[in-house]
Amino acid sequence: MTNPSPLPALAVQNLSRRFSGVQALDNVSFDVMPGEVHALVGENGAGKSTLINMLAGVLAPSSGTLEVNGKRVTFPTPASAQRAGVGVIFQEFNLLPQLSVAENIFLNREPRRGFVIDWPELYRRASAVIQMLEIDINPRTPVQELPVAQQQLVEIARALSMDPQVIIMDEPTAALSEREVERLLYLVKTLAARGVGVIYVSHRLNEVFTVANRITVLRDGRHILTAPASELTEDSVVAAMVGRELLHTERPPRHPGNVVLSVHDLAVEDSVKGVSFDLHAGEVIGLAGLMGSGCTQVLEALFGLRAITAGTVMMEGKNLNLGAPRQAQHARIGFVPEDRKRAGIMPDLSVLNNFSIAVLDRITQLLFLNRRREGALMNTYRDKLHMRYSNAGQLISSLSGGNQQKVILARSLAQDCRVLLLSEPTRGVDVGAKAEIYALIDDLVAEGMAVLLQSSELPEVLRLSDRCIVFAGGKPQGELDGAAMDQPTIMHLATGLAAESGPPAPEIIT
Amino acid sequence: MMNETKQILQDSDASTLAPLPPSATTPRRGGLGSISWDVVWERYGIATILVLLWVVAYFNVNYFGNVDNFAEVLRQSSFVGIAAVGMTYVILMGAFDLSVVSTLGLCAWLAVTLASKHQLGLALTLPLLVGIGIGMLNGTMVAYLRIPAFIVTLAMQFLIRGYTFIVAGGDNALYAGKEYTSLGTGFIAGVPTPFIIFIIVAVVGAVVLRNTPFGRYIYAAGSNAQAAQVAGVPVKRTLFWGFVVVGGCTALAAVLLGARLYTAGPGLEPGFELNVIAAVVLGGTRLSGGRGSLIGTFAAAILFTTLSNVLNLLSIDPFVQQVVTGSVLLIALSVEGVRSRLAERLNRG
Repeated sequence: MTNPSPLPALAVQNLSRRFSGVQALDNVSFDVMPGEVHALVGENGAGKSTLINMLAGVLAPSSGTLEVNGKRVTFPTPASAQRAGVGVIFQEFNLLPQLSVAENIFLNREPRRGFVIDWPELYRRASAVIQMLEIDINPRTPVQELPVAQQQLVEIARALSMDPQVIIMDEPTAALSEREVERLLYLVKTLAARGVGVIYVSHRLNEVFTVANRITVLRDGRHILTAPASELTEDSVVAAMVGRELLHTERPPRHPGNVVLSVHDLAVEDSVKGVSFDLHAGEVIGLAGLMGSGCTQVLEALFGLRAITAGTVMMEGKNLNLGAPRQAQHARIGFVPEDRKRAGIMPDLSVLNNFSIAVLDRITQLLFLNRRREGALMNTYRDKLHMRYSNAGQLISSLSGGNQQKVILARSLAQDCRVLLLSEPTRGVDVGAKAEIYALIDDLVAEGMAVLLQSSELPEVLRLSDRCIVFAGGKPQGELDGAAMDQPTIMHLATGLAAESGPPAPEIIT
Repeated sequence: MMNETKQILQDSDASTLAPLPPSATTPRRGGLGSISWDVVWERYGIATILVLLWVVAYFNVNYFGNVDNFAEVLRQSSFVGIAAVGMTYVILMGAFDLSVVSTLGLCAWLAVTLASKHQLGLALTLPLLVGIGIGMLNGTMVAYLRIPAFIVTLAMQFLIRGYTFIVAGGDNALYAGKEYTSLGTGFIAGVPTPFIIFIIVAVVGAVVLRNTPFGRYIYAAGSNAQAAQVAGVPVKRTLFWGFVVVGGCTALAAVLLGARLYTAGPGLEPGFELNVIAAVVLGGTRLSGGRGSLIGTFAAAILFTTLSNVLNLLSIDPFVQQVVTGSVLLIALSVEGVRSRLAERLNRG
């Protein structure tokens, strides 16, 4: 099925991208041949999204070049990427729900007769594209009436209607059922058979091995390897994805004390069920799982941000009622949210005000804030967390991601919490700050802090946790510790592979 | 497959042109010591413009510098100004209150009516309680029932005005007894009484915003409500009390305005709500919340009155005055928009 054309459909050369102090993508090169399915894999934060955004014309590269069919191109806008023949199907759909399938497929490119839309022609063309995909959707149906899987097909149809050289699919199976996944993978192969180059982005390795001709692995923004799928195994890809670097600093020996937080048979909304564990002082429990597995929901529920629908939560033997963050804070539970920008910082406030907002009652005297005490408290944590800012009055949005994260951490610590819930504690943070945050967590735990950690980066979970609970589909799949806690085991549990009889032999397309 | 591939040659120095994500802003430079020029402008920009306008008008407009005229400008600015102090609280949280015009009518009518029945104590207190009650109603619906502020306060504007028409029976209340009207028309130490009250309200309002947990919560909730909630800020309660503050301030303005006019009824001061919001916004408070200060609101309220006073003294047609006022608002805000975008671009370096 591989087209023997010598020119790659898309070639990426030495592409780099920096975000204020963070090298999100570092000198990455790879190519896609016409008719090839090229899988792009890597952990969250490996640089996949940055790369895709640059290929889609959403972000401009800091340096590096792109070639389509051997010709150099730049994509200053998404439209220019489309015109050059690069179609991107994003994880989040960009459909207008009230409009019909046909209108969505040809949005802004509707066939016209004079000034008015040529409706018969629109529907005729839409039907043609839909037929090409061998699917059964009425082009007149409003998109909102379609199930998610079919909405995704509309996205694919839209990309296909632009007659692309390359289609990029970002985690296309994230929202699909097993049967729908099979259909989609079949469709991907059909597209490739038509001569389109497909970049398939996923971290579900079984799908990748089912569909891909070649696999490229990214880690920490760098290109790790590109090889034919037939020369790789799931284990070798996992090893390339996770690397060894962060394992260099070893987890110090821990001395767990008494049980602090006891969770029994917890259920969160409709998404998570059957979570039980005892968290001890001086211990870190890691929650691991793929996106949507429910780990984040557990943390948010324990901080009163999501409704607990069943089960009990006890703090040192006392039942907790967690209806709101204030109640959790009162019970001396601290929380660092996974999305710093959305739920962490208040961008218009100073570093100082962002820090002190949760402890204002402690610096208030007779209704008024005692600014001297506020500043002194801030300085304590500035030194303890090695925060770098020139002035506590500067806006928090002017700090680097790592320093912002330290401010958020300090905010929780200043509340004297006994239990710290950390969600993605080092997301969007540079390597140096990452190491500092790890060291800080080690110190806190040595002083008796109980930490519940959720991270999509497995090395992080392994580096920090004494024990690890692996989630898939909203249910705990097992608890690992000691030597049993390693990446392949976690991966197998997290992808639900353990339920089957061992890892399946990779099916390779030839 | 595609023969019209558009070719754009790669700029060898693309890095300098690369747009940065909003998260990637670098520290601001310059300013007074640790504070950046941006913040200085945000706080004192309008006050500076006000002083400039005063200087220009003093030398170029006959009678503007007259003590009586100047006192009148300050007195006149107090009514919108006091309500604008309260309005700043809700706009800082990204909301606003359109019902203030009707609250003003109801409370002023109530004050004048009670004063005319020689119930001075009640005339000074009952309207305030009514204003606070209206604020509580607005706050409950916006913060706890999560109905958009636009809908709640617009509906309340109709509702309260209609109610005032019904209880007032269509007649304006009248009263000219000195013990009440001196509040609106009098002087204390040569300064118009309403303006003294305006200063007190603005100072108290500023101290609360800057130096109390409630004030911090307002800025936090306005900047990022979700992050504020995660940090433990009682976002809903803060929004509720914000509406109470604007209701109370408006009622206070109403008591003073009734005393100034000797008369009040449901149709009092049409467009008052928009004048109040305009003063807050011209004063530099961002409509989406999180940024702004009472110094700006204070100066902007006086600026509006000064402007219309100057135009009056120049015998300019009242309709033309409206055109001028609208233009000033438009120019000020678009200059502000351009300026902040420029600052952002410069900061990206």
